[in-house]
Amino acid sequence: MRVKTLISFFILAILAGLFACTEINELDELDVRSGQQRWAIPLASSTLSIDDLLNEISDSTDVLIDSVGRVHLQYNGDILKKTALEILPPLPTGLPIEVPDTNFIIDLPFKDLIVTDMRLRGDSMFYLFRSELEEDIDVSVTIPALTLDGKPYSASTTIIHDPNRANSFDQAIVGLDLEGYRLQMDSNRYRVVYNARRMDGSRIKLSKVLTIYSKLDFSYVEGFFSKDNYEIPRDTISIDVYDRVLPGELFFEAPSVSITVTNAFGFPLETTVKELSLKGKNGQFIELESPYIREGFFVDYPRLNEVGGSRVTEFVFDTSNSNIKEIFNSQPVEMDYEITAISNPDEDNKIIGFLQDDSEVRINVKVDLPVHGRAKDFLTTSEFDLDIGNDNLKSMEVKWISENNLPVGMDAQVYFYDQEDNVIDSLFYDTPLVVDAAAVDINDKVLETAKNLHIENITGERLDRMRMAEKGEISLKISTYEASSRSVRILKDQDITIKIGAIIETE
Amino acid sequence: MRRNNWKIILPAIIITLASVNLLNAQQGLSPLGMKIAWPLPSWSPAQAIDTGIVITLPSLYVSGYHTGPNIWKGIERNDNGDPFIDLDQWIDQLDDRNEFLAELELTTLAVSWRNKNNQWGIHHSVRTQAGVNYPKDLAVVLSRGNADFIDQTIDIGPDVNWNSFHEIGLQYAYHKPGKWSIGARIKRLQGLQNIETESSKLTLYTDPEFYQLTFDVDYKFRQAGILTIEDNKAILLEPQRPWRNFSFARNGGWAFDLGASFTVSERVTVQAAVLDMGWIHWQHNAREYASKDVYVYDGIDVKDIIDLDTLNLEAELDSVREKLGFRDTSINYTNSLPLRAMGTVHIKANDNHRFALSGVYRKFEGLDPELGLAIQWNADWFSWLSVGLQYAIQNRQYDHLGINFLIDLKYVQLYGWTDSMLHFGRDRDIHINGGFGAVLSFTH
Repeated sequence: MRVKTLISFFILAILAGLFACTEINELDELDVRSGQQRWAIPLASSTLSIDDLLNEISDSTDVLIDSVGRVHLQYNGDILKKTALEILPPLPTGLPIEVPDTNFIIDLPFKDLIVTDMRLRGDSMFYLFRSELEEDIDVSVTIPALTLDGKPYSASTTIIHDPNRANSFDQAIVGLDLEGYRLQMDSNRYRVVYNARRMDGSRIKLSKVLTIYSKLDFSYVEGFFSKDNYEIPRDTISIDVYDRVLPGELFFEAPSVSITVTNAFGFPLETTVKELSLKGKNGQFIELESPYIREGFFVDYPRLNEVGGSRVTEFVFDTSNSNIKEIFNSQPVEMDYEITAISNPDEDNKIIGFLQDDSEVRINVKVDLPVHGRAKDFLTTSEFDLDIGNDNLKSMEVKWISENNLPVGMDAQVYFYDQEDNVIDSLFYDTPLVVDAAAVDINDKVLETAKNLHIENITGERLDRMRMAEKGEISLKISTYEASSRSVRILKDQDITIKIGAIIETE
Repeated sequence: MRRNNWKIILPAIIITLASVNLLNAQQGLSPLGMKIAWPLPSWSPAQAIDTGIVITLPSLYVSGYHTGPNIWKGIERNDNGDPFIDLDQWIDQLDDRNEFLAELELTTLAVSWRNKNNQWGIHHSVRTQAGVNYPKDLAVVLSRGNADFIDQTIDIGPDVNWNSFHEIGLQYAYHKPGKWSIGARIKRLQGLQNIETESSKLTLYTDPEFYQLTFDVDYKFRQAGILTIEDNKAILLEPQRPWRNFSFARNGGWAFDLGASFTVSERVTVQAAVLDMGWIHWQHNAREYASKDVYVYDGIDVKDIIDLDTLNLEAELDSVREKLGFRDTSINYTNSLPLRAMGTVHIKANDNHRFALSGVYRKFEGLDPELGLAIQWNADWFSWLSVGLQYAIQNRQYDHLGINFLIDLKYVQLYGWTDSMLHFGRDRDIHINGGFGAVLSFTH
């Protein structure tokens, strides 16, 4: 019996142990230890054309590829406008014009403008006829110069005599909607004829006839536009190619500034550059010098048979007619300019011009920098805030691969600064990251892709120092291919492929 | 004559045991040979009770199987005596592909009553079967990263199968005392959660150039139940009051059990049963997720780095997720329960000693069938205590030693068992299971 009991308890103890083993009870406290993690990951890659690069770098820069594949950086100013309404606003409501006789010529008060033909818009004109006679008077009015679909304007009314009239006269009003009417005048003048007859048919001259218009607005005006000066607002263009991308002594072979005037006014204009100066990095202004500054240039205009169209005139300040090359290669950051336009500069009264209500003159100033130049060891830096922070990071092996088809290369370095602005380390320890420029022939065609591989190990104390860094500074030393002896062009089919990967070890 | 029979039976048993090597998981074998006088919901519906009523209180069966190293043996202690496990060392010992299977069956309540030759029963259980087949490389990548696999294509696609459901069963048995019994059980099933992986190809190649990652994906799985996968990111539990939307009409199914026993002689009884002939039709939150693509990730676009304003790492991750993500479609589908069959020969040596030869068979859809064979000795050590030892072959393993006990306190009976006592000490491929429970018996 005793043996049985012992065996029984032994078996029960085993079972109890199985269902409550020590390790299971301590699962909550179980510490899982594992070694380092090493991740091999691609960080970034892309093939970037010069178009991609420049468009990504600057919002305000347009990149244009010309017909032969050359790359241009362009900065456009605001479109400056002068509208027809600004130079010829509607004639405002004036005092009533008295028509003293049955056949009378009205002179419209246009300034610096002799109108021969007008298409009127939907405003109103009224004629008031007044009679002091004590009988009804029949009145008709005709304006031969004011026609609708070729028919002169004519209207009739009767001045009804009111025996109980409060005043000493009776009156009648004739009104018309001017929409669609054409007013053909001779030197801003047109004739009004009225015919007033008594009940017995005899013709009389009324005691008072007035004409009133609410506003004289036009959809088209034809005539002689005399010489006038149109003020156009001053404008500036920011140029960030030196400021953000390539600061330093970057040399462009053929910068230019073009002024494009799109003229829908039907008369000649002359555009004058009152001022065009470039602001340097240090705030100093350098004037553009050219015989054409202040001298102005003629702006073409649409002729009478081109109503609704416009003509484009472009004037370019380039290396042949200005000092633009010198001032652009002194790193300007802004271009300031003021332009005026003068109508009919020669005051040729044989030129019959026109103006439509929606026509305007648009002036666009554009800076064009063909990417054709050279740079040698030209240095640029930019700073950024930094917080590596990851205490689990144990080491990094970063692999950089570049396959460059651009005739521009660089040496890159990233410096790390502590809180006191002291350089505490650099990203590339022994040598900077080198991206060689692709070799090009005399026609700027790539002869051979420049390939570079750089592997940088960052471990231990270097990583600790980087963790302490609060600021980073990217330093790029840029050189074009054979910079000491030649300039190069960057063409649209040239690109650079960048591949970055890393093995990251964490604890 | 009896001696001659044993000459035939014993070699047959040995040969049969030796031939069993096609096993994947483990089913409980011990209860088949134990002196259990009530119908377990997971066993034959023909199991007879004495006249009266038997109430099975909550009982639990658990089973776990992992093909890799024994995690318990990997537990070490530091200088302070605190336990720790070296994950890297453990992962190093994994097979190229590894399998983890777990089963849990919780019977909350079962009631059986018998009147003369007729016996009825009702029960409720919650059953879960879950399996993950995962490659070693997946564990290595998750633990150590992918840097050791540069210029290699590695398989990281896990194969997951999970089936969890409620079961409410009604049982009837007819007994011809001293001769035979037959029984049947009908079970209404209510699916809780199902995940089935249909294809699990997911390979990763790390290019040596600058470590571009190439994912070759042909992965498809379907799932239904209380979990929802949202935007390829989050797995959400059924929002608020899940049971309200979880009527029997949804994710419902049926299953049937059949059983019989035959009294060969005063000392020999044979029992057999076929269980879980049934299915569940999954409708609630039922969706199929599929991804088939070859996707190369080569880092952030340099343009985004140049212009940091446009760099959005969250968007970059979303982009990767989108490319690797699963396209889901709404579906309804039906899956069958793994069919089980089991048989036992009970041999009564004398009033206090019994032997049992048991066999189990189970077939998961799409997997090789499982077989298990056991021989068990049971003894009544006291009037209130029976104990048993069992030797079984399971999962191509020949070292399954089982042990069980039954405490009979007249109205209350307690039991416990395991088939795999030795496996706690195994170095790898451990396969453990066990169960325990209590029964109130009011029979005569």
